[in-house]
Amino acid sequence: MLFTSYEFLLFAALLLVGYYLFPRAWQWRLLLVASLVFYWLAGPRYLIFLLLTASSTYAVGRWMDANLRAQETTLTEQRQAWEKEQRKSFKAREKKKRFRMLLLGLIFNFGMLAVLKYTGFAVHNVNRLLHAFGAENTLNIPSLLLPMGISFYTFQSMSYLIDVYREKVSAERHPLKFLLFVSYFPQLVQGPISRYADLGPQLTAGHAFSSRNVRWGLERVLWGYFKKLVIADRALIVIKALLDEPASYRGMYVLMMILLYTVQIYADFTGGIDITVGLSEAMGIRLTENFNRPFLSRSTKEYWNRWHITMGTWFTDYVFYPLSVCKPMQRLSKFSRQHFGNAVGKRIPVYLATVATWFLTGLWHGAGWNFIVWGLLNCLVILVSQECVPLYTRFYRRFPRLNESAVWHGVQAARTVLLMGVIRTLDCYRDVPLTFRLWGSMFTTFNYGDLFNGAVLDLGLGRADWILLLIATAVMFAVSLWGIREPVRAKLDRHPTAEASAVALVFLLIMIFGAYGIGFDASQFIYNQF
Amino acid sequence: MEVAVKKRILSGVCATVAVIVIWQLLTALMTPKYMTSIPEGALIAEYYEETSPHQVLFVGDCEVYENFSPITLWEEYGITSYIRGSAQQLIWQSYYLLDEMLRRESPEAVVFNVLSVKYGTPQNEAYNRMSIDGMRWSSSKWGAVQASMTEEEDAITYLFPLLRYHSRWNELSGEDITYLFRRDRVGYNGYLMQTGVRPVTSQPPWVPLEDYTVPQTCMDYLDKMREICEHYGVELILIKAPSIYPLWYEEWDAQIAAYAEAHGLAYYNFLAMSEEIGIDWERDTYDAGLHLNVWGAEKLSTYFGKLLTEKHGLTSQKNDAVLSGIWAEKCAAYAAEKANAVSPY
Amino acid sequence: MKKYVKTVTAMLAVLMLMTSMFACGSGEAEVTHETQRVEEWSLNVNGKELYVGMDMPKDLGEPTSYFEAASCAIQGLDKDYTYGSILVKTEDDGKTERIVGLTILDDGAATTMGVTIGDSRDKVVGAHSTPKSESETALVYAAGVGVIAKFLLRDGVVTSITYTLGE
Repeated sequence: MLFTSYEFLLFAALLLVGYYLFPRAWQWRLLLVASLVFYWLAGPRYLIFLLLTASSTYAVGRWMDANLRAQETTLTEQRQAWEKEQRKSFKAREKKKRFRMLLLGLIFNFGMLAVLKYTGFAVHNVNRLLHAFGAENTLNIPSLLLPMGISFYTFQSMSYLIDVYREKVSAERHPLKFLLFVSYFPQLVQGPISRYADLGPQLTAGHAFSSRNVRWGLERVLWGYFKKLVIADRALIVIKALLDEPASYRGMYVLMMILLYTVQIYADFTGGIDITVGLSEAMGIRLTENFNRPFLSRSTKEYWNRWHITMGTWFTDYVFYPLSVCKPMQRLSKFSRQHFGNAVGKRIPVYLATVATWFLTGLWHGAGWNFIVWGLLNCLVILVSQECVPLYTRFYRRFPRLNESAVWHGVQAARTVLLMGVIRTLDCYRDVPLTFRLWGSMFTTFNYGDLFNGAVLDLGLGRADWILLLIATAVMFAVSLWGIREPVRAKLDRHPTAEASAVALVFLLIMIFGAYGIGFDASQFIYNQF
Repeated sequence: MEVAVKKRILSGVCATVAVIVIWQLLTALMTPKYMTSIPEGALIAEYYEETSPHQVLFVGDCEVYENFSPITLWEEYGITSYIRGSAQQLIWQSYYLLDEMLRRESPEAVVFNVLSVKYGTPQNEAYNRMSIDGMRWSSSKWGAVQASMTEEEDAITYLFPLLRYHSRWNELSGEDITYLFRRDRVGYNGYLMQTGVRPVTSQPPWVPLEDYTVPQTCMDYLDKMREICEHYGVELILIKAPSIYPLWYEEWDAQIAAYAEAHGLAYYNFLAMSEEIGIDWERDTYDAGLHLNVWGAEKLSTYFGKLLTEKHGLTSQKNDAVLSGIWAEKCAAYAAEKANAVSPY
Repeated sequence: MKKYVKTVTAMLAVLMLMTSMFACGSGEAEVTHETQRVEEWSLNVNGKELYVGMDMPKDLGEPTSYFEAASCAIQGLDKDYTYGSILVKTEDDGKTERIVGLTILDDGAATTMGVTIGDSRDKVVGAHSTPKSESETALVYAAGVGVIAKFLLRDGVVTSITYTLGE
């Protein structure tokens, strides 16, 4: 059930009405049923994998919890008898036990993800190697089903498990409440990746009807549909046309692809998140924000703090930090400092952890070298800019007023967005050498005249649609900027007439100008596949 | 109640009313008018303009609405009739249109053109729209929607046509404004007059099929059509109009003939009888044999009117002053349009 | 300063290495607007090779017979050209005329593998290998992207051979 399908609208409307008709203590049960139905409709067989993840994670969580409780009991009982050292070593031993439990949970679940999502890619690469070494026979690429949102719910579940291990949260005792945390349907499709501490208690708490929550939530849903249907799906028509024969659309078309894809993915992804967050808000559940105006980022690092935030923090908390401080890394750090000096030595572990994190981030986005190269290029840009900090410092010392200039900030933001856009084309062209050649063609194929000779009107959008796309995009960014200091909905809230008019207007605009239905090939959220 | 809350509720109600009104206006604006081109699309809705009952109701595809002239049936035999046909109208669409009409009036005979038994599955969204959009809301329309939808279609778009036609915003023309709230008449009791002449110069090549069995779905709808006619005490007459294309295979013909015989229905294959009817394939068709022009349609109607009178017991209604008045107007309009045509005779 | 230059250079070197690693892939694929041409499923008419999905050649010569039919209420023409034993069906939307079907009408023409009307089922399978699907009355082959080749059979004998758009 796509967010843009009529079925989903009906489903969400019925759920929302039912949610507030249900006694508060039963609301979470309704949510659970709705989530399971949603998932079941996506593919009954997928449900097995979701249930496997939920039950294994629940079991390991409870197991660790039981161990922790037993440890506490023993410690209390032995408070008098044991020395401090004895207590410490007992705790360490138990912690090690829990680590092994955690490892079991992680291996099982990430293993499932790896097998389902990456087997094809791995076999393909093995075949390439075999071929390179002259082997004639190749392995068959198995066709495995990829459950919807598996990356999202696996990551969310594993963050819970690690948090239980780290004793940041205590294990959920109610299996069905835990199942709801894993399967909560609005975020199954494309995130955000929530943490148990934030989401778990909210999901199961009852929520009284609040006109403001419902209004604000639905207004955000509506805005999400505007972004998705009026902008993203319209831009997608051209993108699809360009991707139909990528090699023949060079030069200006590559630049067009970069810009359009930037707009498309932003509108599609943030629009989808608006629908997810808005629908949750309407039910009184506040999800973690996944975006914070990434187009204002003045550096790649800042960009990744503003774009797909919950994925970034996941990798930081559960990959980067543990990797940076793990024992082998510390040993390496010590070794490299002794042998290469302090400056290089202290960088090696950080760099290694960064590269590993970005490698995995790339892989998370898709089973393909293009995604890995995309991740590593991001990494490269971040590391290079980190290395260039002294240069920047010197530069700003020479031009002290530049750093306060709004124009300069704009230039930096444009540069960042463009750079990210360029790198991102790897995920649509899908072919690394081809992408590199197409980047090159921007400087060698001078077909920029096609912008004005009507050639761009052959890409699926007529003149009126192009103009509409440009205006709607401008409106989208303008509204986003307007809401920096105070959310737009808060501004509208003070003027009921303006609020009602705005909602009516946006609704009608979506209905008329939305790229949906026959004739407009309404597409799936790009982030579905992750 | 607080003033602020009152204001909020009032704003909400006003906005909702405004959305509904604008929605209706937009629907009227965006829905195709089928006036200056593809007039076939406007035929189905014209039925509701009818003020008098009909003795004969035709249902079927272009082979009825371009091949039979109700005006001729009236002028020559005093038979009142109406054609409820649209482009590539599928058998279930004919059934549901019939279902709708039989609830509104009590004819003596129903004529169904059998060409559509070749299609056992939904075919084409554009034709579905032309057949169904013109129907008023009823359980018949809902049935037609459910039976006709192709995989890409959503039933809700028939309930709210704006959801289907919204993307016409960038192709609106003067026609959409002119016919915002009204339509011109395009047919004469469902007959779309064609006045061109294009002789048959070649026969379509005969290509064998894998399976000549009429799809079971079609046979089921034929049963339903027969049953509903029996229910209302109306005689069902099956016909195959004289069109040389799409090909009408002998094997299909045999199955329909057998069905008619088994259920005591009349079945006329006018294609096989075209010589007897007097159709001149040099002059009586406007598109090289696919459909008849007005001169061909009149010949066929004269022939069929005789059959209706002699074999099916239909009688002239010309003695009815009210009916005569109504039909005189129709005949005058028909004659006026025909007078503009260049006759091949 | 030197140190930073060194680091940046090293990183650029890594980038180039990565580029060369992936740049060893295959060359650009040939781009075509039409359905993929598959030689096995083409037919020769007046010295021209025809296959389903291609634009109708302008210089194919006079057909033995020609029939056209306008679709009801919709713009566009379906055209049937008969060249001896081969029927060429096209769709003309006013801008382009595309071949949507090729049919062998009698034993005056044959497939590239020499199969014609009147041949046995075994001869078809022998010449064109295993079909995609088969039944008592038909053998169906995948004949390129979105094209099928269908051999209709009656009593084990080929009665019709058609290449057409399909799944």
